[in-house]
Amino acid sequence: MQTRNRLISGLVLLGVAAALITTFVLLGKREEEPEVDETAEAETVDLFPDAVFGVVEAFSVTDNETGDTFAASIDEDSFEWVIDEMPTEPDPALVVDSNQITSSLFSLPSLQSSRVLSEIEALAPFGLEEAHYTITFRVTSGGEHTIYVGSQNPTGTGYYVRLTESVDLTQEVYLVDTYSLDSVIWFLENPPLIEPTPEEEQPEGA
Amino acid sequence: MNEQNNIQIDRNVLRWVSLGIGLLALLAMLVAWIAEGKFSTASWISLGVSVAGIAGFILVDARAFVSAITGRQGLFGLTTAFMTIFFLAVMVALYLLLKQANIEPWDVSESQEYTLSDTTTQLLSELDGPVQVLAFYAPSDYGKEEAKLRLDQYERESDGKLTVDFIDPDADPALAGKYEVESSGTIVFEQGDQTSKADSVTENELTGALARVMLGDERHLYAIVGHGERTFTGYDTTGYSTINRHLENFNIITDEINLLETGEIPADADMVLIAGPTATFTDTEIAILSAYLDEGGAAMILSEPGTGGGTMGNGVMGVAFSPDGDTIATGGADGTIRLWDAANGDEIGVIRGHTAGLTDVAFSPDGSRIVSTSIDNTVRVWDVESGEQLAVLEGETAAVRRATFSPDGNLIASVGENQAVNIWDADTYQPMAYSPLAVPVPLMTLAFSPDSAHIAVGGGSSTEGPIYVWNTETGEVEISEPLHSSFVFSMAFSPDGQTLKSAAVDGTIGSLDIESGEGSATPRYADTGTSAIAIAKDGTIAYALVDATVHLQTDTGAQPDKDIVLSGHTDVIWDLAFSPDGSRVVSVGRDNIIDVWNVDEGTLDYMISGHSAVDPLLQYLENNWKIRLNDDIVIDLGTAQQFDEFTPIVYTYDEFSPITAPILNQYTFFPDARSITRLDTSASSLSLIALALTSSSSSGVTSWGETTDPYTVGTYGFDEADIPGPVTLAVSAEDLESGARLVVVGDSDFVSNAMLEYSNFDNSQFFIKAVEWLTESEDSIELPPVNFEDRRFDPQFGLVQLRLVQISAACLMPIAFIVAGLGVWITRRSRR
Repeated sequence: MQTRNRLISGLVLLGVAAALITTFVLLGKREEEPEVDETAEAETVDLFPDAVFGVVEAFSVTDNETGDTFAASIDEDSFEWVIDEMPTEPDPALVVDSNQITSSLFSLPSLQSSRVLSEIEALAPFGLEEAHYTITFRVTSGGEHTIYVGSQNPTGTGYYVRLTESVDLTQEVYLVDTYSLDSVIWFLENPPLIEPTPEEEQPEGA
Repeated sequence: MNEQNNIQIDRNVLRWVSLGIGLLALLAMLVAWIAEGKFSTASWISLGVSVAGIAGFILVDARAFVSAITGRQGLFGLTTAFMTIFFLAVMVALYLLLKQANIEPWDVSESQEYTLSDTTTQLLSELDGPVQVLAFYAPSDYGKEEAKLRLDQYERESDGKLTVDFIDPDADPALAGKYEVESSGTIVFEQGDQTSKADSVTENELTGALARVMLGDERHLYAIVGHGERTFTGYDTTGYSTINRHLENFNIITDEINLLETGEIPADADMVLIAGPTATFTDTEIAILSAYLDEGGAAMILSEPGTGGGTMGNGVMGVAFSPDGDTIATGGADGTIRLWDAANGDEIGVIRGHTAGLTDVAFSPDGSRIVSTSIDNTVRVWDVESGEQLAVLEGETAAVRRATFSPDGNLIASVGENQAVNIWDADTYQPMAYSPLAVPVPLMTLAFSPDSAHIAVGGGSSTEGPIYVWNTETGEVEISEPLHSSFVFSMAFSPDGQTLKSAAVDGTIGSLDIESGEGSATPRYADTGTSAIAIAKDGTIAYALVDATVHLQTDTGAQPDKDIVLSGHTDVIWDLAFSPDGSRVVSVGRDNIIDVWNVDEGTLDYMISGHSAVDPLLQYLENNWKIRLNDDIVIDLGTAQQFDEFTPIVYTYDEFSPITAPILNQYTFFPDARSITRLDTSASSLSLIALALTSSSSSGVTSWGETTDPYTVGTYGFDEADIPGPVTLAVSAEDLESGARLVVVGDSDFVSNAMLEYSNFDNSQFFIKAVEWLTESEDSIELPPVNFEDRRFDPQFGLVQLRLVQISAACLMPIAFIVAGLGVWITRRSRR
């Protein structure tokens, strides 16, 4: 009988302890709630999941303030890049540096965001109310994608971008590595043109 | 019966297998939960399997289960299990309760390093209004937790007056922009319209920022420029832009002033900075500085070895005779051009304007103008009569080595570090259409042919010494000859213009025929090396050798054994020049000496003690402040393993000075520094403190010994004239009557952008603390040093300790538990 009473007492104490823990856990959670920043997610996100394995075949970058545009596409016959539009008249003595374009665009389809900001109150602080640059590219699989590029983040490690043309505040703002976009924006002021490589002279009798 | 037994056995097996599966699934659930950090689908499946397994164990033979738990042993076991769980539950509840209560943690460290100092708590108790702290931390910043702990302490101690908010700068760029936050980990203190920032969560930083926001006002630091000083706007490796950012965080506003232009130090100056001048100050500037300090001002003076004259400087680097032979012009490392009466060596004029040391001077053919070059990256033209600057020639972008007028007076050419020859019209000072002429190596020397039709240049590296000759009319290269295999230091045309003679540092003498472009180099002075060459109008050739002698060639033989040797210099000779009539040759060198030799007799006509041997600034420090910046370079063999012998690392500081007390446990380093001597102050109102001392394995070396290359490790010559270590590298001084304060450091690059990259050293902290002391803002933020005792286990010196720990953890503790258990068991058994 004594043993049975002990068991019942043990069960009652266990119940009390469980109730205590539940209360404190719930209280603690409620207290911590304001610190949880649901608007900022630190997980990396693919911006264009359906283009990750694609290869860029045409692209353009526009400075929305000046209206300057640089656009290039791959020529279907020669498979070399050709410039469709650029801010200044190209020097006829120069040729397109296809290698530079290819390497600069390499990471564009697999662009990732290091931060996703949602529930934003205004786009202006991110420089996205009127995006500074617009980058559009088409991949071999046929899809066309557009990135609206805003300001750099305070630490200078990334650009804020949005993926839709609208300035709807329900959309998400992404933070993208500075280097990935700079290599494309750079074409506006530094078109990928180089002096042609001199052809090797054929030896006599060849 | 047998069949019944078989069913019973099967049921038993099934029951225990079911329990096994249930327990294994429970284990899997725990592992998945811990590994993934959340209760995922896998965890839920494992939990389901676990519940099913345990339920199977109960239900397969419910009667056996009930009898097991209702039996005496079962009830005891259950009670014990419930009590254990209850105990653990109470512990967890207690932990949560304490956490909820936000009770101040106990600091059990010996030095109370996690407890706010009395200074901080007093400051917090004196807060006269709310202070908002905005801690800008990215979510991924590992420093956020430490910041939270530290700022919680401030919040608690402030009695509600100080509130802390953590801001994600990426999520709120507008707020980050408002406070000019550029990096995660920046903490902004704001009270009213005053703000200040802290870059780390040390108590020094945080309390300093709090004090500044309470203090409110900005401090003004004026950097004196005009003598080749480092500037706060310099973003290259030698500049001060990084330390400027730190100063801004401390509410210290920096600006630049040129004392010769302003004539005074602004009234709102809290201090002035003189950061590594390479040219000397004028007496007027010293008078302005002296008046400012006499009124209780404050100054920090950072001085590199070799500046302000002395053997560690470059002395006199360029010399020229005027075309009429009456005047000698010299260009010195003190930043001045000096004119001397060629008859007796009397100084007849000083021309100032370059902002750093000079490297060359040359007269125009009519003698009315002088062209000069400098390490301030400029070529300047001066009027000899008035000393007025006529032009600063545009084109050079790096240190300029040599410049000269063409013999017809139509062109001016210069060469230097930027690997190009710049040629200007000597009347309009506009560059020639073909200028600059690019070359693949830095250039050290140049010469025009007597008919001005050709210009030759030379330079190179330690492995090549090419010579190039251009046509001055067309700018087309005529000769490109890899004549030497080391730096070409000097060159001169023969009077007929047919031959170009060149002297290389490896001692080879080159001879290049201008007509054919063919040349050869002979190792005439291979034993010593050559540093300069000059040819008189009669064809006499003079060489300056690296052993500090001048040789006059008397025959055309390959050996120098018949040379007339002129000895007098004590260090490298940089330049030579013949008088127009060839009767005299003048030599100048690093020893700051100008020797004028009689060519015919091979004797010294007279000697001039160079440019002012003592910098007025250094003289002022010595006379007025009893601080002597020694003419040496500090070599520290004790700390050489980190950088090199020329970069002493300092870990010995004055422990009471507010400048160094906060960095007592930290290291600073001073590349290429000079030592400082405190003179007797007993008859004055001065209080001098040696702030930073090198190791006892160091010394201030006052001469280079037999070598002329100061930076060849192991070749410096220690001798009796050296200053034995430990030597002082930094001194603070206070005039107790006027209240003037001064900090002098025998180095200026210790806070350059490149040196502040070494983040494990506290050079910036040292500089900032000195600025705080000078601007008298240290009182409110001075914190007592915390002496941390490193009690970490050091296996190198405690192998016995290590063994003891291993044995006690692996053997003694388990044995103790076993013995205790056995004891309990035996006791209980004996009671039955």
